[in-house]
Amino acid sequence: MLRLIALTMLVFILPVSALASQSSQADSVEVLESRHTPGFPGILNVSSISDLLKVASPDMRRALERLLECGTLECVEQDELSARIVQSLLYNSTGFNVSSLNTMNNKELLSLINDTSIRGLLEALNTTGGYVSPSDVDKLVATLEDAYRRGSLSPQAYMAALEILKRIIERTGSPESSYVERKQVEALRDIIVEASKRGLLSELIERLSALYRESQALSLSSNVERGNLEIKGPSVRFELPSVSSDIVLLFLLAILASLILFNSQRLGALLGSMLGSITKEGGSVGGLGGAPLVPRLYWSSVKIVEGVSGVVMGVSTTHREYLADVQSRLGNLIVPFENLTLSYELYRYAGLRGREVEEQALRFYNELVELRGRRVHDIGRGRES
Amino acid sequence: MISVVVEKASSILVERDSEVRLILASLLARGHALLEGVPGVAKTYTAKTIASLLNLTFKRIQMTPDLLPSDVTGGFVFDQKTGEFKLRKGPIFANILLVDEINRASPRTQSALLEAMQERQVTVEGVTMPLEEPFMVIATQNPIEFEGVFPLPEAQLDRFIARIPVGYPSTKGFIEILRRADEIEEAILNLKPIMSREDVLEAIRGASSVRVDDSIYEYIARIVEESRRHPSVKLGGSPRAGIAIVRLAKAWAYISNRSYVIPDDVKAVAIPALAHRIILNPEYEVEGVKPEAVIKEVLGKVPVPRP
Repeated sequence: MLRLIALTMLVFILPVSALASQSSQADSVEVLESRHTPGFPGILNVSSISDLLKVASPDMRRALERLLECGTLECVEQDELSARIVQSLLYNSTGFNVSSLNTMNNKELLSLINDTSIRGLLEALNTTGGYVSPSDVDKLVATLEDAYRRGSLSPQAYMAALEILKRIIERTGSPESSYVERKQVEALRDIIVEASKRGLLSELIERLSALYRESQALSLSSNVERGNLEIKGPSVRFELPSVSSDIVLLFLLAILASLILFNSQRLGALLGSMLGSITKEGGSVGGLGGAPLVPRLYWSSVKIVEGVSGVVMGVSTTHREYLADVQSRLGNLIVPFENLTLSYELYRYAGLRGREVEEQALRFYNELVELRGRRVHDIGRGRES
Repeated sequence: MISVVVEKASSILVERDSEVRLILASLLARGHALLEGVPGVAKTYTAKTIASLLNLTFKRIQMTPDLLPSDVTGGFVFDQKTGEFKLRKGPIFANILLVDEINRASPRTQSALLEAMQERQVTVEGVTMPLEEPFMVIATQNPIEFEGVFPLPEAQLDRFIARIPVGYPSTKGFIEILRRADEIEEAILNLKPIMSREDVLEAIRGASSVRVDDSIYEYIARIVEESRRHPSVKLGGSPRAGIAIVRLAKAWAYISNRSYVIPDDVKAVAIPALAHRIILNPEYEVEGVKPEAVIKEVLGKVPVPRP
């Protein structure tokens, strides 16, 4: 549960930090205007997100750096404001109260489960209190997941069922409880994704925009000189394509969630370098400034693909595994991405070097960016019509 | 050519593609393979099919508790015609030796066999003879029997480059086996070799020259080290385990028609190369934790090389 709370905090640590920093950064603030037709879901391009991140710095960056230094969930959990905001946002938009799961007893949790067969199963397990073997845990989690995917368990019921299962397993001292905990976090991520589909995250950006407008008004009224507001986009070659704000935020959330869940120094470093690059004008994509061209192109294409497919590349996922994971979700983008993956593999592991490889990789990358741009344009037109 | 062997064997054996590849990878890595599975899951058929597709000398020993080391290695016998002692070579003098139910042999016989596997030479009454290359032992064992068996100690299990679990087929595969049982048996009997001994030796050389990037070595080292740090593990992977992963990954890449190793190769061979070398803490063992699950968790945790 600790992890859940921590995740939820993390989910919103960016905006919260931004809120906290609103009055102290007049020199770097740019007004975030609503860039979509009112009443329609927002499709903000990535520069808006980058603006958001810029606006949030340096407080947000400090918050993230603090987070990276944290190493324990308790350390992260200290940010009470984040926890409160997250809970209220999730609760208001989905009716889902994360913190209540932690404080409820098993009976109360069982009452949340709408599926009678699942409830009966967990009741029986809870009453007998017997040992649950890892294979049984696998089966039980699969059953719960299946019920959730079929819709016979609501998100909250699914989370409650996992919480009960985790408590039963913990009682027996089995290491499988961390597996169930991971499932809880996955479920939470699902819920966030669902929330984002309903415009929750866009709504959040709107709220932030309003706050910044207020902040700007304040700073103007106090005659504080504002810095240059011009936001230079990255160079064409490494430009991140336009993606919906929700997807980009989800990508960031997934990275943060993975960071805490798997306590990965590697990912931490990636995130750290990513933050560095975001604030660097015209900087290279993904903080891989020092890396050779082909890997840089590949990793920036991964970011694009993560945005398009919603599948975040895990820290232990190989390039081929990731390709297989996103294959069915990319449509015509799969061809350039597959080619770029192969170019990366040849460069990275076969030691293939030379101008030809680089040019080829660049061609595939540009193709990917172009197709992605067209796709966003088409979606935008579709929504407008 | 090795991929043709994989293809051919997989076309005969139902749902044994991964096992076939792992056995061939073990051969190309100059190691030995231990097939583990309950009776009747085609362990012996799999080994026989591979042997038949390679034009190598193939022998088989059915292990029993009363089998002596000399039954495996051979010994000197008196020739009445010449009045001299002559060496009668045991079944170990083969390119591929199928040792059925290795855990039925006494520890003494197992030791004799395993020593030959490690040293790739046999000493009979003071005379040391090298075994012809390629030399590979494909042993099978049934993990569920407890009566009349002598489980291989961990140090001896370590001699096998890979332990390959052979499980039940899926329902679809099972139905196919039922339908084609006679046909499969006949096909195995009529198999013609695809690769000669020289081809196999060439493939072994090819596999050993597969490129391994430094980051892959680092990745493997991290996996092995992480296996030692896992809370449920009493004894994790040794440097030998790491070497086994490198060799198997190279062979796996070679079989996949690649001249370089990628992290996927490492992942494909990590469980067969590591699981049998890991000793779990008893409290986890009694709870049913399996080494395979531990390695899987480790693989899910160790970051693949970036960028």
